[in-house]
Amino acid sequence: MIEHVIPMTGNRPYPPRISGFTQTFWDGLTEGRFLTTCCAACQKTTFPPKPICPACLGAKVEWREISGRGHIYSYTIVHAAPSIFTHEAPYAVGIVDTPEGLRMAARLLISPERLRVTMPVAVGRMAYEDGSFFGFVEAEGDRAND
Amino acid sequence: MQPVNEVTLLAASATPVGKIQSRPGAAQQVLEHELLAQVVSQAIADANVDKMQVGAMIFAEPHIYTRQKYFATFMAGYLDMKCDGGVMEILGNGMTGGLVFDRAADEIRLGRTELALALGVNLETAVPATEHMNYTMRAVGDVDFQSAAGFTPISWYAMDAVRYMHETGATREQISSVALKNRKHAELNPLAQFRKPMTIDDVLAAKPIVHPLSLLDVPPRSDGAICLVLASRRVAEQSGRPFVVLRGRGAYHEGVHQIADAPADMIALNAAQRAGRAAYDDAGLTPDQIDLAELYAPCTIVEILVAEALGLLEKGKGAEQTEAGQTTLGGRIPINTSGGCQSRGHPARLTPLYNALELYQQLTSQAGHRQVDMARIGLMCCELGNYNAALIHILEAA
Repeated sequence: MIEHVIPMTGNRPYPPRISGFTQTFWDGLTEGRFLTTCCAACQKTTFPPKPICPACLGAKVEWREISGRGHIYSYTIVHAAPSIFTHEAPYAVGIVDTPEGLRMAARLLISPERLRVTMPVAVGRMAYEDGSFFGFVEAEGDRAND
Repeated sequence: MQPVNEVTLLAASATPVGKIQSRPGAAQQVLEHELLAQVVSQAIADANVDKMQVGAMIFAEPHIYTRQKYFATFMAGYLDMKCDGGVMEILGNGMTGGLVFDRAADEIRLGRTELALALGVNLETAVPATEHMNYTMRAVGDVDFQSAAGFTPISWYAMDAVRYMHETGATREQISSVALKNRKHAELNPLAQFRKPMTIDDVLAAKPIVHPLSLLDVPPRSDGAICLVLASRRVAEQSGRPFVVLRGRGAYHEGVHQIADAPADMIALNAAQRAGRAAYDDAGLTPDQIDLAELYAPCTIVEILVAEALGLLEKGKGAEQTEAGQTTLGGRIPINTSGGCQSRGHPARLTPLYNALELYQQLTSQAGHRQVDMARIGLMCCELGNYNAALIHILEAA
């Protein structure tokens, strides 16, 4: 379950396209479930979700809900943003490693003073007026070991 | 099939890097083909060859802001160049110039021609950075799942810096010493965009761009135009002009775009390590035999990581060693004597070609006040993404 909902102002600056395949992910996000795909043949879980397994190129994949928890591997604060993002700058983005063995790149909805490498985080739904996107917020728990 | 030929770099001509592109409303405009034609004319004269000998022209694809399309074939017509080999434009983001050099070298190596041009124009400075990034952000991540979060090209390098500082304890000052060193080099390079002396305080006090990097840790916006002349050894020797020989080459794409989908060591730059080993093996050399290197490194941190990956600096100590002067002209292994992306400038699609030009000048003892003593072997390296791919060439004095 996605426990955190973050109200955002206005529309998504760069709305993602939705395909017949990724519709499941975006609908899940809006419904509070963080989903990705797992290969039916080799069991490789991947993110972003893909209709073809990047490990074995198998074409049969299954949707799976993931914890949405993880730790910050690295981050930065974008002060000089593309013009479509200028109204949100400065904002933090980072790389999050999850217990499922996934690595994700996402917005970090955490104040610059608190941001640390190894910080525990949890996925949140960024609720824009025109739809959802995902980012990570600070969570309870231990820091990563390294 | 023709036998495989030895490849040489026989001449390199370029405009100084800087702001060249016209403002949209300017009464007189700088035209891409006029600019490049002058550079080609100079390069052919420097090479002391006849234009009829040119059998291939490999171009960097100009930016979308360049009005003339099908630029390669247009230029073949503009300069009346008849070619048996390839006439084409190549695009590979940061690697563009490296791929252009690589393809031109292949034309010689495979015997399709004995003379090939590697060339291009990069015009972008009249387009504001905030607008340019609306376009470039689409190149550095999955557009629907990652770019939509607001990642910019250099935000990835900034994350490399944060991670490097976390793992090694390197300081911001040590990382930024790259910019200081590169400025010292650029002061001696007539082609460099920024040549005024600068202090570490200038770098630290400059406005933040992507934490922890400031305006002087990241590349400026740059225009440029360049033409390299590659030749068979036979044609190079006939010319009577100084030349350098392509001694080794290595490439690797790690099958990752920006980040793997599983945890991995992001700052090891696996692609540079593996391409480096391939290039050293191909040349029959070891890292300690390299006299100087021109590394594609848009941000200060990148130069440190690439130098470590290629065995030119010690793993985890690169920032400290840079601050100590090991990569400065006169140091153990001079890196980016051109002034690098920060100060020579970064006409992105041509940067690897400008790096080749620097190696050409150094290895033919034409680098003036920034000449590396006894320089015989130089290495150049360029990349894709967050160094997810690397292409390396090793050049040797003839």
